[in-house]
Amino acid sequence: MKTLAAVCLLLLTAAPARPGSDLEPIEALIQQGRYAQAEQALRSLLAPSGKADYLLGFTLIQLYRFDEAEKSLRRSVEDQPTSIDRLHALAKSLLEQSKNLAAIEVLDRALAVESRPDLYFARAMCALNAGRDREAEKNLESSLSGQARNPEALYKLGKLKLDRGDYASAREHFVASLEDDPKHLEALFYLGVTELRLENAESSIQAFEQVLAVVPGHVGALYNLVRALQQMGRRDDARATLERFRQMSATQDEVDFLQQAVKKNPANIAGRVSLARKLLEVGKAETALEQALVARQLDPRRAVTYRLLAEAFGQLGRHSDAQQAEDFARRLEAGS
Amino acid sequence: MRRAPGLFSAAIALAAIACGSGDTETPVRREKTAPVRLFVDATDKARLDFVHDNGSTDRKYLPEIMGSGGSVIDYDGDGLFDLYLVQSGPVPGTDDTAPRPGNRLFRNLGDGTFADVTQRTGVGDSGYGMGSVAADYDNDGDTDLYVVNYGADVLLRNDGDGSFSDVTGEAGIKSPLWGSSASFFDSDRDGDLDLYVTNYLDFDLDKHVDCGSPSRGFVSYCSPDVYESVPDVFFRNLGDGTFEETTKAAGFIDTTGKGLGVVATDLTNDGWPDLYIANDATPNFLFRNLKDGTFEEAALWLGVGHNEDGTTEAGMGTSAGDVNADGWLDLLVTNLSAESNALYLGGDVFFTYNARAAGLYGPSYLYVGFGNHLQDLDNDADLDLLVTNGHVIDNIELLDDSQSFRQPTQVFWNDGSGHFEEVEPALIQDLAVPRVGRGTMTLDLGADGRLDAVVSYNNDRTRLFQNTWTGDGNWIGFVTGAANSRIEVETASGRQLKEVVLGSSYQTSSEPSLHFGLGSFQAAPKVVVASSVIPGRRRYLGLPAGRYYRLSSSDLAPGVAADQ
Repeated sequence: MKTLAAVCLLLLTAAPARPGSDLEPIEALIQQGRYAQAEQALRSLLAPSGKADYLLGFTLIQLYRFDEAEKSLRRSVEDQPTSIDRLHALAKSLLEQSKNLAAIEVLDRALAVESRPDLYFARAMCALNAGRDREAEKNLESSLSGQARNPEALYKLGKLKLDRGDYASAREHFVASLEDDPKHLEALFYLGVTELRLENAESSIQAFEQVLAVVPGHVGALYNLVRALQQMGRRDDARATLERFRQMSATQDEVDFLQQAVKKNPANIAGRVSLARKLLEVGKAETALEQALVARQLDPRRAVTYRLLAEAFGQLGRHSDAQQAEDFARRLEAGS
Repeated sequence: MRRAPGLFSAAIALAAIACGSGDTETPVRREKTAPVRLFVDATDKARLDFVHDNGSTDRKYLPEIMGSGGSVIDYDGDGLFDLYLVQSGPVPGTDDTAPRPGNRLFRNLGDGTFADVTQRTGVGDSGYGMGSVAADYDNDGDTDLYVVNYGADVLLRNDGDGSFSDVTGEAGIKSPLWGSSASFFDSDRDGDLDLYVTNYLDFDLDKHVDCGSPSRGFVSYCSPDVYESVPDVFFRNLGDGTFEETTKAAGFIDTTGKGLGVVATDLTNDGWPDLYIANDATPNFLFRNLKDGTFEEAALWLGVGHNEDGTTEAGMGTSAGDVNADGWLDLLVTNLSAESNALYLGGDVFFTYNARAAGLYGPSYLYVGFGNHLQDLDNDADLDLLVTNGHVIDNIELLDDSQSFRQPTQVFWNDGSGHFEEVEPALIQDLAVPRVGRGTMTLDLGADGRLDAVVSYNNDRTRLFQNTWTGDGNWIGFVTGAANSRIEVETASGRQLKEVVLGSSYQTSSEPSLHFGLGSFQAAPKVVVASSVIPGRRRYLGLPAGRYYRLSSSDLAPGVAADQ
């Protein structure tokens, strides 16, 4: 259930601009995605300020140095305790370090200043990670009351309902999520799981086949397709699908091997890239995204990493992020 | 209270008188809001002073964090259940000069206290212990012990005179790998107990990897992904006090499992015991008994190898029970945090993953589950759930501020349909104190029909929790050591099914008696017994509640039972 959604939104969105600021040249660097130069410039400032700390924290988040980001952002929040942007960024740096409870505290401070759907959504992600399902549910509902057509929030709420065994409500939310984003693969997959539990085997098969049309090796879809075919008494089809699942499980063995390799050597960029690719093949986009993001942190100049990010974002239904990652890859390949 | 054979014979005679008269009451489902405590810590009172020593080092060798368990055993046949507790100590190779503490046997004195009889019984094996299982493997009428170690396992034969002998070599047992749990069962129904041992990882000090976050300056216990699996092992009992290792010949050919838990029980309702193995980070196994001395792995087809997302989980412990009273045994598997404990509902064709609908998904999400028991803890005629938790990363708080190393044991009420609701910690007070739980055993120490629990904590004192439930609820129990004896108790409110398993949960074996809550029934209207100790299937009508009955052919008076 761990999610990188919040910080990933930051990854490919524009940095906050402050027209007329003396930090404008540095902000321009951040806007251009030149984070290493931005960091250097911020650290060489003769007169650090709360805003400079905020920009540095923001920049460090892009560089996946969350513990350092947290320190800068805490200083920036001391400077402006009611700045929503600063509190939000601090919460994101905490969330990425799995400091879920600390992030909740910071988001509560932000929400006391302004009730914003994105803050409620971020809080819901923290609450989910912390196993506080009821809180997460409330936060998602609050987020949706301010931004009703948010497919990601609808999907997360559907998943919560599913995890609680409330299948009818789960289906409702997955369907609503897919209405807004028909390519949301996770919503589609769990819609299939839900339909299966509601004993609508044909509908579930339809959903799993749609998932498999996008990711032919999606192990979750294959696994559940077996169950759906069994439920319909189509034993031969079920056995054939089981074989496909087994084959993809062999890919899972490769995943396991690569996971070991990166555990033993966390700086193994090639290993992480391969791992992300294999994970995408078996439909584990969220974990793939995690690996691709770390690979990007280790070396931000590899086009292949951005292509993997684009694919992962795409599978997760985050199409604008996918497009931006794809653009980034093209720019790197063009040498710009 | 002592469970002497005479008592049981008398009880059966009463049953004959009451035959056919029991099914008259209207069952009443009790409100479970009574302001009482379900468990209290009776460790001090019982004089149980066993403290597990995991031999922890700064290097954080993985075996340190995985143990341990033990067994409930009536070693001297006095009708009182004793406790055998498994010790670890320094990991072999780290400090071979240090004295090894060894396992301990605590004799039940019958007054609520125990006495250490390790020395005089000769059961103080000092291997790096993980778990144990108690069973009469040589059919001589007393209960023996099998000790599962990180390293060579040990078979301790009960000599019937209050002492045990290490017969590992002469019995043909050779199991030198890192074992975790074991189960005795009669795989081929030839009247003697065969043995299955789950083995975990290929680890030794030379293969140790420093895990954790070196950049943040700390090391942690590794994930099992870092090490290769080692194969489980199966021993066929030759009936003369020796075993033959026939793992591959019996069909246990998949060596990819990182086995931690095992339960041997009839999952397919064909009268033959099957095997279910909880594997860590690899698919779980279900070995279907082919009734010819061999088994076929069928977990994937039957839907019990993965979770509902098609993902493998970190299987730790496992137990079986019919949680929804449909006549099929279901499977419970404890898993890692950020997963959930799994519940697979048995059925006539396949299993159905049901953790979500059963209400177990969310409440287990933050915890690392180990020992687990499906037992009726309040005698309301359904199976409740007890799960002991404790993380495997002792500095998990550095990695995630919403998790903790020490975690509470949880109890869940069953509403009778297989849906569970977590019991408020206030109700289980002592049991809910966060610790690093591993093996758990259930037993009825006072023979009062309220099941008590013994929980083994990693590197901490083992504790006895006395069930002090004061709500109403009648019960009936059956005493037997005969593996896979199956009993069904039918009342107007439904049918309960239980089977004797010798070794299950996590690294433990519990009291082999079968205990049934009866709710408001004063008698069990109908009891059906299928056991190797009684020919055929026998039916008993109107057995009075509130006592244990011993299953043995000599105790059955003519006319008491009618063949079904």
